[in-house]
Amino acid sequence: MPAPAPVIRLPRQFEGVTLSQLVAGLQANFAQGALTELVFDFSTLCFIRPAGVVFLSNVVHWLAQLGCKVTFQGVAANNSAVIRFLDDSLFFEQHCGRKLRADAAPRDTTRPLVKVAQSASHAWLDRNLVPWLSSRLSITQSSLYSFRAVISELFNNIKDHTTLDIGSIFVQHFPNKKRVVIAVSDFGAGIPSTVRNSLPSATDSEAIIQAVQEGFTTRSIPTNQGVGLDLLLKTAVAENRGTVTIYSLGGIVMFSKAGTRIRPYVFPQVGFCPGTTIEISLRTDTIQVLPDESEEMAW
Amino acid sequence: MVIRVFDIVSSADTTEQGQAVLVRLLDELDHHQEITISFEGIHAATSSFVNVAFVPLLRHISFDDIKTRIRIVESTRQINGMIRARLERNASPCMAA
Repeated sequence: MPAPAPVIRLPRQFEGVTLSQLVAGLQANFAQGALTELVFDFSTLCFIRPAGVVFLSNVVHWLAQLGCKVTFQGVAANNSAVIRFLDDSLFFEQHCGRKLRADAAPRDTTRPLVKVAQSASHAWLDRNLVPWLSSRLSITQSSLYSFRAVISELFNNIKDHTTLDIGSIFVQHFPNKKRVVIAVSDFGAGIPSTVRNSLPSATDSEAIIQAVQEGFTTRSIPTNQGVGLDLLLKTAVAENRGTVTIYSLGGIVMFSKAGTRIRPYVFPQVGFCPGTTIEISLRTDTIQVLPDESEEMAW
Repeated sequence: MVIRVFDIVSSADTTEQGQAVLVRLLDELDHHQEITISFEGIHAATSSFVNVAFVPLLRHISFDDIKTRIRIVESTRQINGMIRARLERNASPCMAA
């Protein structure tokens, strides 16, 4: 009689450092051999942040690519709002092939979970995210182009640094908090692995902090040196006064503005996050409103 | 001579798109002293795109010549800022062929 499939219980609060707790459970199971089947238990899940949504989605995609059958349990038994939230975010439609409720639909305050498919992801920003955000915040689309550009940079990083073609994005507006949270996740080698090609002795958190420094690059010639992460911090933290949290391998670092400088806060290491998950929390009250007018270059 | 980027690529995001635009820019610069590039219909440009579409121009003409010969119109603040920043960063004395 075959052994029952291992069960991974989702943490009660799926955010921040609890992401790595999920993977710790996975690692323990993989250590016993190849997994052919795995069960995620949703019964105790009460809250999930955007970073948790994309991270969980990526984990499921990753397991499927490994040939592991993934089943969800405890979904029907969980009466909390989080299950309805995931259903409305089209999480179950994407991973189970159908919504749990016939009337599940994307909420006004979110964009449904989207798998980053390179050919379509940049266009999705122009056709979906920017117009939606412009409408939500009652500002011009021009005011959002700098944010659109940094997200495109993240999509390019996914393409450049991963061979698994697993990436997701999820966006949620918190009007009461005057915040928009954008979470992007991939299952590449992870920022620390890439940085350690140049700085072999860096810890995972040190590598993340190094990766966001202006001018730091792991590429060799100007035509492949993207600005990526330092531009993200400049746009989302220095100018917007929002925060950026980067989870990658054993490192979790949150960047925020303190006075005139961007300060990193290193979370105590509690586990492991494969690939890279970036959660951008933008303040909606500090977005510079620009007119919807074209500009000519002034050299 | 006006080059509409949107006639060449659908957006200014990837290195492949940058390469397509660079080919056109080099050809036009070979045949025209001054060119105008229009970004009508395009809202943002990534560093990957600009690194491939514009930075290699510095191998052919100086940054001062770029500023004299290339006019960019119907653009956005983000696009203009990215192009200017990447060219300034990579500009160096250049002996044009």
